[in-house]
Amino acid sequence: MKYAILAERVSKRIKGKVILEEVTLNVPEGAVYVLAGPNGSGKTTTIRILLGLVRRDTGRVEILGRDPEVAGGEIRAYIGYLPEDAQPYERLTGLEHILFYARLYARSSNIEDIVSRAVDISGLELRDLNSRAGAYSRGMKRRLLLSLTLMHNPRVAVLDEPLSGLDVVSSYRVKKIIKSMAGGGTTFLITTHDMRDAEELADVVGLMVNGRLVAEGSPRELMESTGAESLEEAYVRLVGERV
Amino acid sequence: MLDLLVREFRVVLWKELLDLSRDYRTIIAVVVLPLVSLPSLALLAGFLAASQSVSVAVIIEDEKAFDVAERLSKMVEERAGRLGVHVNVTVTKGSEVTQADVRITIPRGFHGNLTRLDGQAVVVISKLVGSPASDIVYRAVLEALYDISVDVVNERIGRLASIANLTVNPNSLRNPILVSTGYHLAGGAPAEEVQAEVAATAKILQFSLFFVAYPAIVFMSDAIVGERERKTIEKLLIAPISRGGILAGKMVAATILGLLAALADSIALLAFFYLALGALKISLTVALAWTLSSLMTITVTVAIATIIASRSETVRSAQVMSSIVVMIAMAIYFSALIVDLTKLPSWISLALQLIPFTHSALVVQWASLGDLNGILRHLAILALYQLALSYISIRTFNSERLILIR
Repeated sequence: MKYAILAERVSKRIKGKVILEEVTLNVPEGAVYVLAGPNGSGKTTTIRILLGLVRRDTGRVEILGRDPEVAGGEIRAYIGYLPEDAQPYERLTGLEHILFYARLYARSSNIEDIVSRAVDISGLELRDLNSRAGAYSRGMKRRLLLSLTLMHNPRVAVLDEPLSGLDVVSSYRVKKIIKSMAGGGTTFLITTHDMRDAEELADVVGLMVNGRLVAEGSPRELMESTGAESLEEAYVRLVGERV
Repeated sequence: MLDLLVREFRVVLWKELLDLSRDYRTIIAVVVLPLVSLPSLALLAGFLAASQSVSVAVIIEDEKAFDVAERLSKMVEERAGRLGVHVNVTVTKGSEVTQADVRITIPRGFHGNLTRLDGQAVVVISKLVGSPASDIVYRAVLEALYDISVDVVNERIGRLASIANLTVNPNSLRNPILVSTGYHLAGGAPAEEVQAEVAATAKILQFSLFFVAYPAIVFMSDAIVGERERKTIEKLLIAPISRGGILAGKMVAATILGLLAALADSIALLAFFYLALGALKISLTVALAWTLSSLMTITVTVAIATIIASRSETVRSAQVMSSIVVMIAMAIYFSALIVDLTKLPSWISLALQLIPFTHSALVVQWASLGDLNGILRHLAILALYQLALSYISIRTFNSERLILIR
């Protein structure tokens, strides 16, 4: 099996505090990997290390076969990343955001294709796209940012809590986009603290608690191994006593 | 490689300028406000000064001195008016008690002493404490009394010459040494008076460099720490763009804002001094040197602000730390207004030249003295500072520090 993302025994301390401890995870190419766990369990730090934004203390990381700390710029064109608390530029319109990021990503592809794709993914009306993003609702902002993340058809998309705080309709739209792109071969690494979302989206789930990956497998495997009827119940049985 | 960097830089610059052009508060604060406020301040100060009214009492204790008192009153009115203060003069007899801002008492025996060949007449002046307008009128009174004294001396010289049966020029007798003042440049070449006036204006332009630094610091702190606070930087950091491309775009945008602010501030400052002091002279060389010096000062300041912002937790802390830089710049530029930076002992000069802002002041100073070598030398040093600081700012622009610092 080929892995789009690979992490081996990755550890990280920040200001003396252990944030990640010997985390090992493998994301198969074309899979939707959901990293689930409560707030503060180390999901975001894991993602940042996998993307090379934060340096690991120990361990090995590869994304698309390259060490992100070394390859950095060369692989970023093939990656899409939506940070958990990302916000758009308040004074720029939706369309200007799309143009800005399209110009950054348009190396091999046609800029017009990227723009058109971003407009489709965002699902925003032309009137909204011509309005300043500062006036958008939370759902519209998230949809715009998701479109900027996926506009260049990345080989790996890393979405940190993409469904957090979204209304039902927006959440449905985002899940639909993820499923559609995953079907097209894009590898997804998604974090969530909502086990129902994880169960719905994931091919593979990694459960994190206190900076450690405590279980990994398909939702069905995790449920079967714990005798649970849902991933939520499996999670509680696996990590409930630790948090 | 360079093509890619230029492309990245252009994309970031486009975004930064678009964002900045819609930040009306910043544009008003750094460009419009100085253009309006400083000349308005000068006009207001001028209007208020001209609206001042000072009461002057000429108290005559010597009745024979009435004519001199009348003449003195008229001269004081005329001279004070020229100095921008309206005066209200009353002439009273000595026995009356008078309330006035400036009191000029002509005591008994004044006329006798004034008309005697070797007499020394006395005038007693009393001025109100803590009144700048009274100080101006006091100056007008002294000028008027000097002119009256000149007339009296000329008349005495005429009388003496008549007794001695001589023909003399009273002016030559009073001023046996005639002073003729000229100008020269640092190399010894003669200079015109206009060059001295240009040099005086250059001092104001040197001081105006202070205003160049601050907007650039504010913008750069916001462009880095502000992006983190507004949660927009992490997404940008993972885009396929080099750190150099991101920083170059932001730094050039900060430089453009700084230049606009510098232009506005300098026009406003020159307008202020023009309205307050009268004509100012500026040469093409000085204007060009000031423009280049401002540009280099902004880029150096932006690079320093980038290094500070990359290590700051909040926009406020970045601006507070950067204000130390502004204080140093202010110390240099204020000193340049009152001190000749080229005439300091070598150890002080060396210490000052470790500070990049000294060189930007010196560029303008050498330009005002017409010294091309001096201009180029200090511009080159500024360019070296700029390159070194920009290199450090790019090397220290670290994504982990930007994301994790709290």
